[in-house]
Amino acid sequence: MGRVVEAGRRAPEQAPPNEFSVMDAKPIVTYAGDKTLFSSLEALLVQRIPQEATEWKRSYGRPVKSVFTEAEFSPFDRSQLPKEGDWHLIGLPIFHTYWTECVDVDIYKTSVREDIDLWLKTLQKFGIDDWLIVQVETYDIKRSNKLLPRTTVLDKIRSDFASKHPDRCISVINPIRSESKSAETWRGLLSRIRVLLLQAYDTTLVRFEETIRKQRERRIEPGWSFCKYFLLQEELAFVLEMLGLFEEALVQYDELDALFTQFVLNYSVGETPNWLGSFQGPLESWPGLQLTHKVNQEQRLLIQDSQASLLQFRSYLFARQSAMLLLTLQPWEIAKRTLPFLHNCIAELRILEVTCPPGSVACWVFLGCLEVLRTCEQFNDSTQVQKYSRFTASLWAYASDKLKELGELCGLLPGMQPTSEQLHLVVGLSAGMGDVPLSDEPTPTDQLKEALSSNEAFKKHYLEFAELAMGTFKHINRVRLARVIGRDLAAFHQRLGDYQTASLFLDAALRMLEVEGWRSLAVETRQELVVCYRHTDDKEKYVKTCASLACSHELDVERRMYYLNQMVEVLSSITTGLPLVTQFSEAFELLSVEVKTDKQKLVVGGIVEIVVELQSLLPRSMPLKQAALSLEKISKMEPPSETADKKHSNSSSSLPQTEEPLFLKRSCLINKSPNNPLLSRISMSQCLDYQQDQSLKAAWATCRDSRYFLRRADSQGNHRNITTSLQTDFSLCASTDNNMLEPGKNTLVLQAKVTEPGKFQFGQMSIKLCEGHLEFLSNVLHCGVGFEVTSEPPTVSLQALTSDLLAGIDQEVTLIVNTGSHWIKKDSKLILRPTEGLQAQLTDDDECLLSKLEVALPETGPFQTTQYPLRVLARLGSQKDNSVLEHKVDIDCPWSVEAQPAVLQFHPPFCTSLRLHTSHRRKFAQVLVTGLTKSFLQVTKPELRLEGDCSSVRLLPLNPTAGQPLMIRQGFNIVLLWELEVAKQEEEETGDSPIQAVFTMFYLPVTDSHSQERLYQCSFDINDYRTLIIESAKVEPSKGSEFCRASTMCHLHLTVERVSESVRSSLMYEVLVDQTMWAVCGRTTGVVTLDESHKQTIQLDVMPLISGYLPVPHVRLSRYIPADQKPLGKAASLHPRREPFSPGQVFNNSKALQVHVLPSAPPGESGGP
Amino acid sequence: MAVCIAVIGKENSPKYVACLHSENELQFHYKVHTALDVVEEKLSLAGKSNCDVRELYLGLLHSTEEHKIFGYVTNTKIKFIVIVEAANTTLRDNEVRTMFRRLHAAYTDVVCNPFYIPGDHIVSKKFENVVKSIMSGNS
Repeated sequence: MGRVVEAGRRAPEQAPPNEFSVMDAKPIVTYAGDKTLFSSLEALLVQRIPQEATEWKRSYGRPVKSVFTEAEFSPFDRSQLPKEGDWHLIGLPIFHTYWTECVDVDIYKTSVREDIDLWLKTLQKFGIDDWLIVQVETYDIKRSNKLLPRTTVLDKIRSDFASKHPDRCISVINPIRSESKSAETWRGLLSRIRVLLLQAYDTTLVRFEETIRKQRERRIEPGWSFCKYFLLQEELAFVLEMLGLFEEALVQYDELDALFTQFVLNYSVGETPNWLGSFQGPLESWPGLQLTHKVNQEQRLLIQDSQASLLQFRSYLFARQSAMLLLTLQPWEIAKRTLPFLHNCIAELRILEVTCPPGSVACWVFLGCLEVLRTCEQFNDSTQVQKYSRFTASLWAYASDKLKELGELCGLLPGMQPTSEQLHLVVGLSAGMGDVPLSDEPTPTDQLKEALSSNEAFKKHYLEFAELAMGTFKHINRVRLARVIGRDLAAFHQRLGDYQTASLFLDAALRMLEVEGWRSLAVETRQELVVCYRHTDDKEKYVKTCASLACSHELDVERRMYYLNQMVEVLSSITTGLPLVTQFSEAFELLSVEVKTDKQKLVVGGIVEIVVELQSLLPRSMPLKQAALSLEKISKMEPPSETADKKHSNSSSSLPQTEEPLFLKRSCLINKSPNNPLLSRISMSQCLDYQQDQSLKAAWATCRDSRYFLRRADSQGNHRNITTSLQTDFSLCASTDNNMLEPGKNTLVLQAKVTEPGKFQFGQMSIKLCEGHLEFLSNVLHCGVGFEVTSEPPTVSLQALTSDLLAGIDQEVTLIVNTGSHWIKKDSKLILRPTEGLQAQLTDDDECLLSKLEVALPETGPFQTTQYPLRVLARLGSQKDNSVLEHKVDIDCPWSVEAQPAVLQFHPPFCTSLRLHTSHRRKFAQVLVTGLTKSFLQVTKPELRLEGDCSSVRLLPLNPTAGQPLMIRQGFNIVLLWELEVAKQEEEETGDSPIQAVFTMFYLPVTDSHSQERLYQCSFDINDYRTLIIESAKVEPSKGSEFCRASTMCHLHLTVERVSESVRSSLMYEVLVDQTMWAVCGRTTGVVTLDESHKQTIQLDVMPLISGYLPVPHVRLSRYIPADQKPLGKAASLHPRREPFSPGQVFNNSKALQVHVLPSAPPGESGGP
Repeated sequence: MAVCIAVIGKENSPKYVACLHSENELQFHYKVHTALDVVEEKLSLAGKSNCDVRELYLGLLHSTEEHKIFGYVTNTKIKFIVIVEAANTTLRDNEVRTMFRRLHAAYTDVVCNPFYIPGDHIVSKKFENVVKSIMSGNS
């Protein structure tokens, strides 16, 4: 041990005597022989040996290290040579040199050889093989020129002493005499010294390690002491440290650490070596860690004497480890090791059942943390702040924790007054920490002593440490840990009475806990928070937090009731006019919303009923002041643009397009958790892709909103949304007042009066309690539930009862009044104004038909339809065909300015037509009554009269006057006939003037017994009622033939007879034949003039083409007007014209006459007579 | 062996927390909660360095005088936290790994239950039994 004390003495002056630095120690090399020579070279050697690194090759295949060796020279002293078992390696000479200047072999033989021999023998006696003999020569130019050198002194020395180790003898040229020549030999010497020096260490250490191993193996022997062993192995670490191999030195310490830990652990299972007893003594002092490069000699002595306490030993070991870490420039590693180290020490104290005075360990831990932190700060590098902080943060936290523990112990917390016992304790703790040498900065020990000195100082220090810890945690993003310290700080501030600050810390913690869904912790925090609010008199927050707590099922009912009562109590003292708004979800869960009112009844001005189911989390029933659900009007949206579909138009993909109409659900269950896409139905749809030629290119199934289904499923689930909801517009809302809210499920019926049409969806839910002072406001629901309020105008229409309305007969139509979404007030009237010819009356009314009808409407609710049966009658005029009569009815409504038109179509029940028939000169007027109805009509008293002055014409009825009744219907017609007797004309000129005939009859629907007979009247004009010409045609066979034969020429005899004088002009005839039957030979047309003669006959040649009964060729007669006949010429008059006769003016006698034509004669007969 | 076992969801909300002794359960809640800081840190570091992603065991997250907190994270970012007593010196890393593996297997069974909605709190007798047996040390 004395050796080390010596080493300590060699430490720099300024260091305290109880410390020494291993770094300052150097390998000791002895010198012997020519001392004057050596002293001239010593300075040079000391300076130049450390300049180059040497590779240290070690035995056992250990990795080669590059080592810078230093050396310290001391004269060879036999007494300083290491003895067996003395392993204080850093103080012992390790390498031995002999120096001689002798160049003369004779002188060598006489004196030097003996001296070397003695020196080597001494070394061998101590078993030392690490030596070097250096012969220093002066450069001799003469000698170097000699061709054959004689045997030199070096050769002699070699042969005498170093025949086995030729490298242990070296000759150098004295650099002081001739520097230039010596450099090479000198460099050789230096490297030789370095190599041999390290070799010496290697052999020594190999031996030493062997010793250590042996020692370790004896650890279970009774007399073995860990302290001795520790010091032994530490020597190895010292050497390694001295050689700059800090990592290896650290390995030695770590090994020792592990060994000791294992001993302690073994103690817990019952193994108790004697030496361990020295660590189990009661703790008497707890000085803090001191981290320096240097070895604390005082502590080392204590260990040697087995007097060190566990903490002292541990502190020493940790300090040495830290020193190595600092030397390897890894200060953060210290911080990293600190916490496990401290925890381990505490565990060891517990295992070894060391009696510790209260607070002592806390003091020690606190000092340890601070010392490490201080050291880290000293070696802080801005690039490694992050790296440090990860470890320092928890050290800050640990330190502040321990300080708090001490504060509690010593009565230093705010609001505490230290008792005399506690003061004693402080004194005792301070004494246990010991004193530290004064320095410029306050040491951890000073800080702790100061902190324990008074409440005020304690507060200052505690807040400083805690805030540092919190800040560092925040800096490295360990927010949760920062919040936990925040809670501690909050508790401290509460003690200080600073509830404002405390609430800030707690609020931050609460927010994070809520976001992450840690309900039980959140409730805990809230309970603390509520205390703060009470003290800060923040009534609003107090009430809100109370409300939330009252609804927390994590708490027992009594506490919840307490908070609820608090809430009500404090609420009543708040005097602001506005209600206090808080989160709906704190106290209620909305379960479902449903629109109860029928769709039809959702009209403007109507009342909507909405049923809301909600779960009240309040612990008891509460009177509900008002519950309201806001309604948002949905503005009409633009239809989505088509651009998205354009992309697909080329491939004509038939993706089903679903336009999403703004569809409002009428009810919905409100889920607290968001819809889980894993559990919803996937909407798949078919997709077909066609090529341009319409052939199928591909078919596939696709999920249209795959994004929704494939998005990452959040496994969070039950978070509460912390979004603060702003109050939306409640001007439109459904509400109910003054109910009771029971705990658990409640069903509320809300009502709203809607004043405008449109789509409404539900927005926010609001519940007002406590006389409306407290309002729970939910988030916006966004569930697409709502209703549509319609505004439908009333409609009025006329509808025929049967499919076809008949004119001229009483018909029934219905006036349909649909009120739409409106109310019809009392004393409203509808005025029907039909067009001319149509009359109407209410069926119930026996009054006569009116052309302007007023209908009184009763008071009616919305969406009601009222029907009023009406009788209508359309006037039936002269009906000559079945054209439909259309009538328009303008309806004046009380609710609109414009009249509403209604159109009615009436079909005629029958139509009448008149035809004139001719038979030679006689004329017959035939009236046809065509039935058009489906049911029978009876016709009576048909009559045809002539109108006006027409003496020349008379009508003679040819109809039976009695017999079966005349009935008409569709398909049942009546034909009536009158002969028109025309008097022989006296005045030829007037004969042509048309006469007017009026047909009248009465008709009566057979099925309808009530209706009376109605008169039908129809007038006709009768023209050309005189026969002018009678023509007849006849086909005769040509002369000599008996019969007409096909392909044989025949004669057509045409006779034209004039029966009226009025025909004066020429007549043109045209033979119109069917060309498949007849061929006209010669002219087919011609002109005849009937000047004087009344009758004229024309013969034409015609040939039948086929046989059979052929119709006689038709001859058409028309008036012929020559070209120059009319002087008032127009363009047309230049050509001759023909003018047809009206039917009835020409009577064709041979109409429908046929002639029998035989087949053509056989050839033989043709030439016959 | 363990004094507290917790399953934490993807978004760091508790899905299951069981403590051996119920008296200071909240303290364990806090411990589990703060351990998440380290879990997140480790996960973000693992993401950066792109090291072995198959290693689910996160090792020791945090230690206090009384407790050691270990972490494990599944591929779906479900975290398992196990708190053991620091005084229990016989507990080796390998045993902690075994606990997590058993816990993971039990959790997988819970998720495989078609009636379990992922993200919900775990209510399962079977799972509870596994957790209890881990806590009591009967493996």
